Amino acid sequence: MRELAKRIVEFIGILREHGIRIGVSEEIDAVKAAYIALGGEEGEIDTERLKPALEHTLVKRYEDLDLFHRLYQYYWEGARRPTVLREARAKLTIVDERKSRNPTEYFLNIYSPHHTEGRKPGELKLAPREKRSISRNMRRLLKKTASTVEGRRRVARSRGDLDFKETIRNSLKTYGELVKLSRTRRKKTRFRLLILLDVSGSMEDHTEQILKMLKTIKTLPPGSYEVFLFSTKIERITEAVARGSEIEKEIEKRKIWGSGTRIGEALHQLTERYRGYLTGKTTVVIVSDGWDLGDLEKLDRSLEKIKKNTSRIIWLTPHGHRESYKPETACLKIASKHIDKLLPLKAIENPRYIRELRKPENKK
Amino acid sequence: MSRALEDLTIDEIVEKLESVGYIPDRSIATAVYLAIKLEKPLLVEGEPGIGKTELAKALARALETELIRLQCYEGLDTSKALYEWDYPKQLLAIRMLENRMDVKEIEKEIYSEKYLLKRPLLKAITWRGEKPPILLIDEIDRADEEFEALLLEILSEYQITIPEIGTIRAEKKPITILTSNRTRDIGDGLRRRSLYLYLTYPTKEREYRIVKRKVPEADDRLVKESIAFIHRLRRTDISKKPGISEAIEWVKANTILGHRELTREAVERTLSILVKTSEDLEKIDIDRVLEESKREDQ
Repeated sequence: MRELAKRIVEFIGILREHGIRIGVSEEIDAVKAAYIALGGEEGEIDTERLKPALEHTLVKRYEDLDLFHRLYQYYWEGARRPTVLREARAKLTIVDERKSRNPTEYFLNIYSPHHTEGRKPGELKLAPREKRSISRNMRRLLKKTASTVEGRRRVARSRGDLDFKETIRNSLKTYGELVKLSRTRRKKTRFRLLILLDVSGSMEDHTEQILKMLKTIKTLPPGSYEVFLFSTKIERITEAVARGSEIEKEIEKRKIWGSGTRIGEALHQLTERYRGYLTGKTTVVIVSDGWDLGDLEKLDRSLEKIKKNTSRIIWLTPHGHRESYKPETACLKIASKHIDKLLPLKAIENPRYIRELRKPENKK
Repeated sequence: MSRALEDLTIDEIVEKLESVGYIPDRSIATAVYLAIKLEKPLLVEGEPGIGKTELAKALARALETELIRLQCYEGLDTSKALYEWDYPKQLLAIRMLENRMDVKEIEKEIYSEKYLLKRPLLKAITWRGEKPPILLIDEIDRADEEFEALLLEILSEYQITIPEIGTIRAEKKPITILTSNRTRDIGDGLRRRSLYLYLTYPTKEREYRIVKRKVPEADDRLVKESIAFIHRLRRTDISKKPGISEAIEWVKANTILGHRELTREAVERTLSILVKTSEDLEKIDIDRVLEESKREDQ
């Protein structure tokens, strides 16, 4: 049975390598659960019985379930020796379709709907002053798009209207003596920013701005943001952004940076896999140039769904600051039907654009 | 934890849940089994109407123990979830005792368990029954994040400190089930402390058994065709996909209306039970879904 514990630890290592976050306490739980589920039997491991034990103790997010099942299959039901295991892991990465740098092929590739393996995002050192300035602007964006006053009342410590009923009720604590007046004020609903960053090949020229955003988002209050990267697929990277350190390495691991573009597919995945994040108290911010040669009908349907389920959609486009700019790509034409505001990407550095935004409506 | 619960096997859990009308698959039964054995809360996520709350209710019935339910909502606080002093009763006691006792004795008396209004969490911790209760913390995603922090402490130690009384520790750790519809992301702290179960739509066979168990009077053919139709409908692009509860209601309604098989007319008359928004209703091509579901079922 010691062999089983060893193998579970090795398997957990693989899960961690693939981005599933597992703590030591969960590791201990998994080993305990495996022993319980297998009933202390020696010999050949019953992988059918082991699987749910490891699944329920190690995977704590719906988004990780699919990856867990695939890795489980490779490790426990297929390959066993480390050499074969390496091969199994290799199968999970997708072959790079973009070797050539011929200009025509390169153009076709960056606007291609095909998935490529993804590249390194490069590294960016932000000067503290610039970081502060962008951070202030991100906070402005959050404040402008992410809080509103609603009808419900909440207890207030000092200022606010007198709540007679609560005052009388509280006076019972002091046996009928009115020691303190209770006050209430209208509740402020906190909205959340759901930031979708297009990191496909066509956004290569705007890498710096995207990295600037990624490095400053963490200065927003915890829980007030969710961050996703998308190209031909979509990946949630909120935890990596919140940790802040080595964000470039985290992105590289996801094999998503500089891949083809399939906005429709990526947004469809968002509405399916990450449906829970789309609520009436969410403001969706999409950063993309809108170059997509994929399924535009899917894009239309997905944006419609997002619009229906969230408070509003703001689209930041890298070319929007130009006087002559018109959203004429097929993708942006479709998106215009659903988005509430089209802003230039420069808005993250320039507060002028954010001032134009109106407060959101609260959709329950 | 009582001996009987400790000795349960996964197969026995399946059997017990089935006996009270909940048809679990192996994964659900294993998750429940591990939650009992490891004494850890079980966080259940999944689409609405998939049977998350029902799992806790059925488990309480199956294990013949008490179900203590805490329904979460925005603004839920300690006085609603944990405890509150019964101030009017304390006031009355002071008036009655002021001539018979000194101040210290009165203080001791009015801050005793007798004057404590136990809310669901404290009730679960102070449970003195033969078997541990099932503590259902329903729709945790509706509660504020501050409340989640409060739960972290309680669910890891199963103890509550009341300043006037001291620390109360659970004699029998309750079997805790937390449910979430994922309208907000539950924090990592709570996830780490819990086992996790994601409920998906059941297979046709399992859903058939569930519906048949809940609506035994329904015609076999009607149930089979209805399940096939619902499975096909879930693959269409509608925004609110019908859950198990809708499937049960639908078959029940069709049975009441005297339908013995699923015809176009039957679907037309009762589709609003399955599909809840006008946009979704417009999107559905009944003939096509019906035809494809029948073809797939052959």
